[in-house]
Amino acid sequence: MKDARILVIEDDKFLRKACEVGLKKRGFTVFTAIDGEEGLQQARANIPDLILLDLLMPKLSGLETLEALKKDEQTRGIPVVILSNSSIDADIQKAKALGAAGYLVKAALSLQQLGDRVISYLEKAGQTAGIGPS
Amino acid sequence: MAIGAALFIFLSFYAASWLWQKTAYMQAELFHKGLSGPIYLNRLNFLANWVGLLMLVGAIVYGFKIARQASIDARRNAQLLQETQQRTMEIAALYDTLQDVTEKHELRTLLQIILERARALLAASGCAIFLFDREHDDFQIAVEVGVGMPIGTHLPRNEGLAGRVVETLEPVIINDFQNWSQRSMPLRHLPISAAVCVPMIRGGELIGVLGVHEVGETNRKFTEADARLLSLFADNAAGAVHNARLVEALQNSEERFRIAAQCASDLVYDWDLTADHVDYFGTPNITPPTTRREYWSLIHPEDRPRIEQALKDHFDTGKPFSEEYRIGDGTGSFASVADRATAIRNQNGIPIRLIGAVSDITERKHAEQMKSDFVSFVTHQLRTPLSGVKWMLELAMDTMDDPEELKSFLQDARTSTERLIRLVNDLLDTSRLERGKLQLTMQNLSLAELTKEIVDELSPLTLEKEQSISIETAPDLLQVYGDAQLLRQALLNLLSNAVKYTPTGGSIQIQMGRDGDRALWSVKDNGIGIPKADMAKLFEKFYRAGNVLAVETEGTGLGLYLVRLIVERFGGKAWCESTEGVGSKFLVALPLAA
Repeated sequence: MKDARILVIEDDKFLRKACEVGLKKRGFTVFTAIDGEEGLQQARANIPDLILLDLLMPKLSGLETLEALKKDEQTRGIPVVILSNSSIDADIQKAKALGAAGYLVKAALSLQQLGDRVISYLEKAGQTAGIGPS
Repeated sequence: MAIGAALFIFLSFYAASWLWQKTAYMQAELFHKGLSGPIYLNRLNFLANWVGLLMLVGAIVYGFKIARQASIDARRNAQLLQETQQRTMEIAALYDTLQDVTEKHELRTLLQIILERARALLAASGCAIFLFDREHDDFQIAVEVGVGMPIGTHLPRNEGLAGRVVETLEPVIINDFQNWSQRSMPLRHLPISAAVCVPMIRGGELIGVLGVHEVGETNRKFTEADARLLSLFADNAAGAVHNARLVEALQNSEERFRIAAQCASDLVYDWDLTADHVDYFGTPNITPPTTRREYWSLIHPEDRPRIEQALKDHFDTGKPFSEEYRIGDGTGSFASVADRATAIRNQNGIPIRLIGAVSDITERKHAEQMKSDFVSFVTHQLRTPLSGVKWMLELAMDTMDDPEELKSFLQDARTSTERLIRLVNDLLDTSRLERGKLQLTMQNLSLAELTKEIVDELSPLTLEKEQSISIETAPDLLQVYGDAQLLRQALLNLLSNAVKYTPTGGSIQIQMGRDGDRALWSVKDNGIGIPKADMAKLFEKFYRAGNVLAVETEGTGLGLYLVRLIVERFGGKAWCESTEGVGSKFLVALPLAA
């Protein structure tokens, strides 16, 4: 679990940096992408264990990226957790409908808590995939 | 009886005269034979003679008596006949009179009709109706004809003829009005010679007093019969007035209801649940459906189950029905409405009617949506730098042993804080400008100098993006009148937009010139340009062009809105010319300094 590979798709450079450093400290391997387009490429190239996806991004929005990820055979199985600062109900509903594994609001979490959540999502995903928590 | 008596007298007289004649004849025959008749014949004859004479006298006396009686009877009969005829005429007149009165009339019209009819009924020259005013406990002269009473004037309840009538609730006749001491003050000077007044009472309730009068020099004396006739008429007239008032009150309340419905831009409906028919009040823009099924089919399919349930709950449990839903006009477009309704139930509690008011809340819904969008947007925009600060500080605390990294995290936290401050300032400025609360220091400003300062300020950014900036200024010094800080902010917003949306290596051109009595300032870039569809809304609050998000997501959607607010505050104008993919030109026209 500790060496799981996480892809962070986030356009804000400070938040991207914070996520990267924070998750690396927890022992994860972290890839980053600055927008949805790059995120899709990274997901296909690296097939991470979990994707943290921002919603409001240039080029390809988070929801568009999510849709593309779920359409792609290669990336369909990767659990995608939305990590946004939007708490608009419509966004949450749309994300769920498109197959997001979870919805996290950045401002509500510390990096420590974010790491904890990532672990629990990975465990959940592992159980459904038939692999017990390591 | 009289005939029997006359017959008896006649028969007795006849029998007596026959006996006298018979005895006289027998005496004459005997005398002719030279004989003298028996003495009884003489006596009989004598008796018959006197009895006949007595009977004759009796008959004559009795005949006289009968004749006298007959003459008295005839006179009485004639009088009776006359009275009957009079009554018949009165009743006929009353009937004709009431025909009009009992028809449905507006109160004012009805009072006029009563007035005319009452006057005609007594063939008098004037008439007046004094309506009882419950609120003031006095009388008001409602209508009058003949003498020119002051219409609308209030008369004290206990004064004058009307006062006397109310006191006794009986007709009052004053045939010498001018010398009557209790004349009501407002009517004292009027040339009324005689008057009859009767109460108008309906179901024990005093409606008013009906008065008929003669004017000027006249010998007319009102009689008890006049009073009686007028009373009969007044009773019916009172009923008619009462009804007219009820109808008027009903119409008033209905009218008020209608006005209230219209003021609330409402459509009020009355749904007959058993007949499934709807009546509408108000002025709807569309022709509303008249059956429930038709109405139901217009409700947005997503809202329908909720409304059905709410209505069912209202019918079943009496839970208040107050729902908002979307309703279509049949052409595919929907309006948002608020519907509040109450069921009218029969004695078994079964709803039989549904009365409700529907208001169009489309505008309000739109405003709510805008507000909600605003809150969401601001929340998002505030949370992003806040999250940055929070996370950077968290990382910094874990990195106390590495001064270089610590410094980097703290630097990032500070940058995020600055972004946060900018956003909050923009929001505050917007709010103050919108409410006109901002204190301005108006002065003459040099456009060229201000522009140069801003360009210098932006130079680190333009250098980084390798952009070239050119400034073209008109030969004469352009001075505008405004607040230095605000104008600076407006120009800064426009210039930093140009830098932001012009690609690396691009060029930015600033031009200043005179356009009549205005200074014209513009900045032209060769950036991404603005889609045609977005041009109109560009200067609106929180509006961000569709293609902007593809470049960056940090914008607040307040920059151009602030530009517009500031420039308009100085009496100027801001607009934009652009071709998507080619570049944009933002222009500002400002009044020149005096």
